[in-house]
Amino acid sequence: MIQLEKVSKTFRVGAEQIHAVKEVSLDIDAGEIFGIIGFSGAGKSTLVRCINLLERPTAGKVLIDGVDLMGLPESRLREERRKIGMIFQHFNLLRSRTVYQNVAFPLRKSKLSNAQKHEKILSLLELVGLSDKKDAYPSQLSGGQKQRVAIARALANDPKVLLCDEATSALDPQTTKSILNLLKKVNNELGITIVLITHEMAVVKDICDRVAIMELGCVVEEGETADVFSHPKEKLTRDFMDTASNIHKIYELLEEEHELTKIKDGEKLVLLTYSGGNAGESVISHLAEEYHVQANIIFGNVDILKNKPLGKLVVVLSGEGENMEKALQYIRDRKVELEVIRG
Amino acid sequence: MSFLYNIAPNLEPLQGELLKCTKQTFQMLFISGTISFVLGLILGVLLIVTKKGGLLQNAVVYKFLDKAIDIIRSIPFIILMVLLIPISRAIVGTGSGVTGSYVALIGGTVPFFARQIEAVLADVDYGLIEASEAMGFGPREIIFSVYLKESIPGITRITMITFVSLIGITAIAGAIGAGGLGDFAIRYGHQMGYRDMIWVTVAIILLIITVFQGIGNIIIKKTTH
Repeated sequence: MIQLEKVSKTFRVGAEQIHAVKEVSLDIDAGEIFGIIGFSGAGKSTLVRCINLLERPTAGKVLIDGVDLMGLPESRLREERRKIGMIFQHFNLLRSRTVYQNVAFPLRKSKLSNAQKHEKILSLLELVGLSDKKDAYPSQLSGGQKQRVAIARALANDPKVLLCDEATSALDPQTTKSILNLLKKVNNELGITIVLITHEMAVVKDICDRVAIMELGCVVEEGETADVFSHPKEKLTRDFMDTASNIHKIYELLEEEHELTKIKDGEKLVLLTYSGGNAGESVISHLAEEYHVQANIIFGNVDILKNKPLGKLVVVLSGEGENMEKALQYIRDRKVELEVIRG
Repeated sequence: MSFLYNIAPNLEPLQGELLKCTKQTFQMLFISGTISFVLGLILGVLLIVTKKGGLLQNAVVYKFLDKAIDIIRSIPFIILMVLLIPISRAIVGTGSGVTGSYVALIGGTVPFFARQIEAVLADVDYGLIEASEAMGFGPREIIFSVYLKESIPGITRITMITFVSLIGITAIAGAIGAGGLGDFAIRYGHQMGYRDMIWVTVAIILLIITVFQGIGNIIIKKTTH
């Protein structure tokens, strides 16, 4: 649906050149929810603006549904843009217009009759759950409600693609959830391809089928969400994983020489990572039965990445020398990743 | 009426003249005000869209307008008025009288108003412009439906401010024989020493401003959400 071919965007600030996006190539399929995650300044906002040419790439190609946007004259480009909805971090609603008028705004250029437009607006407000707010002004709405209006507005022209630029970053976790659910619904019911930019791991984990990780204008890793995060190749990817779990706390505790991290002779402090079907807990009980190795779980975390569990356990193992070796081998054989942190 | 004649004894013989001068003031306010409003709005919009990063970025147009406005604004009105006499002759055929005052009044109002419009439009969140572009709107729709529509309260507010300053300069325009209330106050109130006539003029001007601001406040109230 969306093909980016070696897209680059360079800004000139005085004599300096800033490479916001560097040769990014992405292939986003129809009907999927594609996440682009990166910390501030990674270039993800610029990249998403390159998709509808709000920022014209300095090099590369942008194809939407096979149409090369960069080759189009201004008026044709505007027509194409109507097929690409967009929502923003700060909602960008028109303050002087009611909810109804905001949703009606993009329909000005539509060929629908007035009655059809009216029908359309009401059904969109129904979809986002704001039928009762149609005559309210944006200033009377909460952040979540504003984003719902923005979503309804973005869908007014029946787009094929919805671009979300940090759409949940200004919202609290609860509201973020409800907006993500709405996006899922939009994706499911209307089959709209969604491209989502965020710095929040929770967002990606929740709804993205595939994800690209961006740093300094480049995509450093890309793939199915569950694969990328269960077997991260890049340090940045791991950093993102850490933001969403408490596992990295172990390293802080180690530095603090915390009580929990103190181990006796013959004990080992290990981090176990398992994904998919490998249940870590059963491994642990097996260790005790078979090898007489006791496993004391200090803490653990199980994430559900697009319906696949990804578990991490920090465990203190204690047992006899030979048994311990066998136990470790057993763990590795069960395709549970094992990292000995101490001991 | 007799009550008025009691507190302003000179009103009775001068009321015909006062009426004529009030009419002239209204004429100047209406014609130069309307033209200034439209021209100022156009220039303000031009400034905002040709600015760096604007919708129709154009450094040459922006720099020219920017400098021209600064220069004209820094000329005191009474000098500007005299300076514009030849231009007024070229455009409306005369450099004096009510008709001869229009060019000067517009010249004295537009740069100020355009600058203020620019400031008001600059307050429109750039996100709105971006969102409108993403919806496939072109510069014309964005100017009218976003920049101007979203700025109605701000535009009304500065129109009120500019209107008061326009009344101020219509009084000065009396100096080139444009007549009006300012001229009336100088001739009768000052030169002939009829103090009561100064008070009557002040009262009329206050009334005009009050009515105008009242209307403005209603518009602001109705359009601010």
